[in-house]
Amino acid sequence: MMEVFSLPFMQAALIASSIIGLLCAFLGVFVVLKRMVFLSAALAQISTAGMALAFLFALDPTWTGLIVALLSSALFALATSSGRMPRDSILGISYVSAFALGILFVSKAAQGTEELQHLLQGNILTITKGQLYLLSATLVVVGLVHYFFHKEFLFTSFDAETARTQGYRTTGWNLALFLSIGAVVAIGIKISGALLIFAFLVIPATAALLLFRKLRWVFLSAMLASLLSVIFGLYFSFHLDLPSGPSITATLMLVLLMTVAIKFLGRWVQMHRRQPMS
Amino acid sequence: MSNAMIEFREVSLGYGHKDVLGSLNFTIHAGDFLGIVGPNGSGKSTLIKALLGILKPRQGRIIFHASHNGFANGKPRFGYVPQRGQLDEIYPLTVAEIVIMGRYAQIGMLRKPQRRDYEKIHECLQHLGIEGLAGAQYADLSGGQKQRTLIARALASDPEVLVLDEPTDGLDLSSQQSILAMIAHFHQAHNMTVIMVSHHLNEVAALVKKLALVQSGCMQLGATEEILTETNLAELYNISVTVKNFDGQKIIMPGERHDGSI
Repeated sequence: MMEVFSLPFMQAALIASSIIGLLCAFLGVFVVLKRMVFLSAALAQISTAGMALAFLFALDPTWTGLIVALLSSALFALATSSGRMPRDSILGISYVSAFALGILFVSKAAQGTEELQHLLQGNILTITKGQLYLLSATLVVVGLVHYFFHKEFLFTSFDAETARTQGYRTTGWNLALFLSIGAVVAIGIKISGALLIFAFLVIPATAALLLFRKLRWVFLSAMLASLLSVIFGLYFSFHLDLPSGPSITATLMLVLLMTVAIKFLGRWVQMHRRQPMS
Repeated sequence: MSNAMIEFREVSLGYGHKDVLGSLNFTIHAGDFLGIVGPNGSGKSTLIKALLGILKPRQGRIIFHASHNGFANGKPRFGYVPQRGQLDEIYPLTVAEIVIMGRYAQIGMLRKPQRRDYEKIHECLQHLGIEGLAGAQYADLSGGQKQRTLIARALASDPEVLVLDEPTDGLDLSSQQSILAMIAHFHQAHNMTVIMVSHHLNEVAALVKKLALVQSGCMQLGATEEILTETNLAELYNISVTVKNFDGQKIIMPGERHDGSI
């Protein structure tokens, strides 16, 4: 395995995917706990549409995708706080609209379907130094914000009403959470693609919540599952000549299936201990 | 009165274009034990939200009088106990992790809980008789234990006013009684101002000193003895009601519906 990661382009892929995986797995715990999995799908699709728009008008895709994703995150945070329209409907409409717009923009862009495929699957093996610096900066900023304000994010997510009685501006905290998710999605998507970003946000957190019942372990194990999936996914991708994004996604799925199996086995053993066969 | 704490002056409440409660004029005094009762959808929770500062009045003013100790943020420190059903049990949180949330406002931003915060939550858990459950998962607890956890969290904030929304809803009789006895104890032992929303008339009647009946956009407030009359209750619930005094307590017995329906 070490020889695979001794190649410079694989090292860059490993570092970039690990940063994206760690950030998404951490934020994914909030996404799953707040029951807004569709938000990550919608944001990934909106960011993709933003980048497709950038291709059409020869703009910088990363910054265009980021601006579009941040604006959408802010709108979602404010719209879902008002409660006048069901959150799922807002996200669903945004998802399909962004999907359609993305295809329309790309169909008129010079590179066409080739770009669309890159946006969906990412391009982990052709990462630039600039992308790595941007990712590292995102890791530091989002990491520090969530380290210093973890208790505020947790309280306002778990019990917004009581938090408001204690003087917390819950809309503001919700906005900050959505913006951090939007930023990670937009910056990671050019590298990982919409599919892998969505998988990183949902699968590790779901697996961790199945296995652990302490919040600290849920966060840590989700990030560990992401990291291991990156390492093994890239390794399989290299040896079996498979696209890297889908390989990591398949490894994440494998982790989830193993978690379900462990959980099922644990319950079966517990049940048989309680009811010994006569 | 000199110990007036919260005053509603010509307050109207509602959402969007919908009016829920209008022309509210009343005062809550320090040390009051106020019960708020009324049928489902009458506006009890709306009233509580306005009191807590979650909902802004459409008209009028809610005045917080700080004549005694002075309020840190211009209003009293509220300890709020929401309805249990509002909390999503998907969160893998222990009892201690939930109770410490009551300290967060005092701890402040960019700071971690200190030893005194952990001592405070231990003290609250002890008061509620659940110190042995500090490490237990909230989702695994019984209804009564969950309610005690939420009351412990509210007390952890050192509240000047304790506000409880349907604290005994969905609990068995024994849990109901012990929760109510505990609330009454906090009120008496610490002279704490308590405001409790409930639709269990009998339990409220036996406990509180002041009662607010909320119905059809209006509210009647006064001493429990004066408010809890057969006429008032019949109007409130649209059924004939008999109020009996038994062993110093008021017992409410429902009869037939006025419109003849079942």
